[in-house]
Amino acid sequence: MKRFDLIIIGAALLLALLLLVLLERPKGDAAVAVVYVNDAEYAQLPLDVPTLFTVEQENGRVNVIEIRDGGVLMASSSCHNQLCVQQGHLTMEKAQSAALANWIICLPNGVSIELKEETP
Amino acid sequence: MYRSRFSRSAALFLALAIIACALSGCTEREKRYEVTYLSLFDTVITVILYAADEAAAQAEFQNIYSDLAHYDALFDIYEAHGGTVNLYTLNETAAIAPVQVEQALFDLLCFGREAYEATEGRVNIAMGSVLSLWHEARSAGIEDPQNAALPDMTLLQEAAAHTDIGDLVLDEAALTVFFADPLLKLDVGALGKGFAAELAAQSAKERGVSRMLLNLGGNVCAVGEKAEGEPWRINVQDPDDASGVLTTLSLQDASLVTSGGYQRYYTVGGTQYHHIIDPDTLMPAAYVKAVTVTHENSGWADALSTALFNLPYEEGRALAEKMGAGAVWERNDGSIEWLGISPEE
Repeated sequence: MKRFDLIIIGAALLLALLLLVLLERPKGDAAVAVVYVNDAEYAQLPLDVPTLFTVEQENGRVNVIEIRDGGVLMASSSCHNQLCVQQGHLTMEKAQSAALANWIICLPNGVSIELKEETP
Repeated sequence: MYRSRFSRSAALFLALAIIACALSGCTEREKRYEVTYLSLFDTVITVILYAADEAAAQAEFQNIYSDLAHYDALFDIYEAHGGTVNLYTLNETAAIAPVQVEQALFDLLCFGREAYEATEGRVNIAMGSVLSLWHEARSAGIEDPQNAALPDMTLLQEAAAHTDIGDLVLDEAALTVFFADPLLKLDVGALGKGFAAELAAQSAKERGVSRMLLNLGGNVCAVGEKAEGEPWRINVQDPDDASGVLTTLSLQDASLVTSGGYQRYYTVGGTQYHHIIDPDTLMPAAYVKAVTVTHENSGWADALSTALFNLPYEEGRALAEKMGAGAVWERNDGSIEWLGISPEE
């Protein structure tokens, strides 16, 4: 009968563990760069696929976003101050180093990029 | 037999308890939500907050956005916003007769006067006439870099004759504003964002928000901490390297504001001219490369960062100490000075 108790306890622990794993899915490696244009979501780019992504707006403003080496950068921008380009290559590691560190923003053109874990 | 059944039910209880624990651990924990707006205060606004679910977070984002949009309209010096009496309205009409304003705008102007007194004039919201000359020259220079030019010094000096904050007459009982000098103009660029962030953060707290980070273009206001025993971590940008981090600071129930010459500027003849104008020289201040200020009040953090940028390091340090602020300076020789705060390990 003691063995039976152990089985029940063991099964319960396993079930709880299973629930934890299922419901509390650990943060995976899948990260995305979410591109916003004028505050509205525009595209999601997975970080593991090297990409050149161009945002061309009707007002003539152009931003080129590049995904490479597991990170994202503003490869070029038609804006006047180039602050977004100067920000360089942003990786998930850098993005998680501090609050607010997960963005590349081009204010003059209204384009922003957020690095975040992919939400399934 | 009886004993065994007892322990079996105990085991079942245990199992249920563990399952309940696992479930509640999931559903009760607040999640992090984040949003960015590029349409207000001519800058980038980021809000990070913790909420029970997406709907609660979105509702709160809406509240914060509408608060900030209201203050943006109220503190705007460049255009009218419908029937709202804002700073543009005051600049156009307050020299003719006293104008009644809403409480938030009145409070902002009182705060501006307080900041002037505390900083001995290093922050002056009555400097609009001077700042508008710089604004025009900068806008034209960014639009047409080939013909970028500095504002005319004679005009700057003429404008500087109309920047006496004593000519800003505030009637607390009637909530009216009057300019005793017809050429006086207001510009709250030195403290308006911080004041707005403080008001928005206070309202959010009253609505029950306990963990939030509100960033108005580098004016970072922290409500509570990020998690229990874990403050927010904020990177301070290296003025010499847009992708570099000068230091990381911890922040909890306080604000952090950086003033530097490296973000809003234009170029004339190969030299960069930024937007923080020294009231003495009427030219961009050049005492330090950048200064970051922390203070429990976001309005003061904003005002003091401008004041400290407009002061030699030693005098700025004395002022920061007097005001109970923390500060980090990057001096022109590249050395770093600390007051009351230290870098994160």
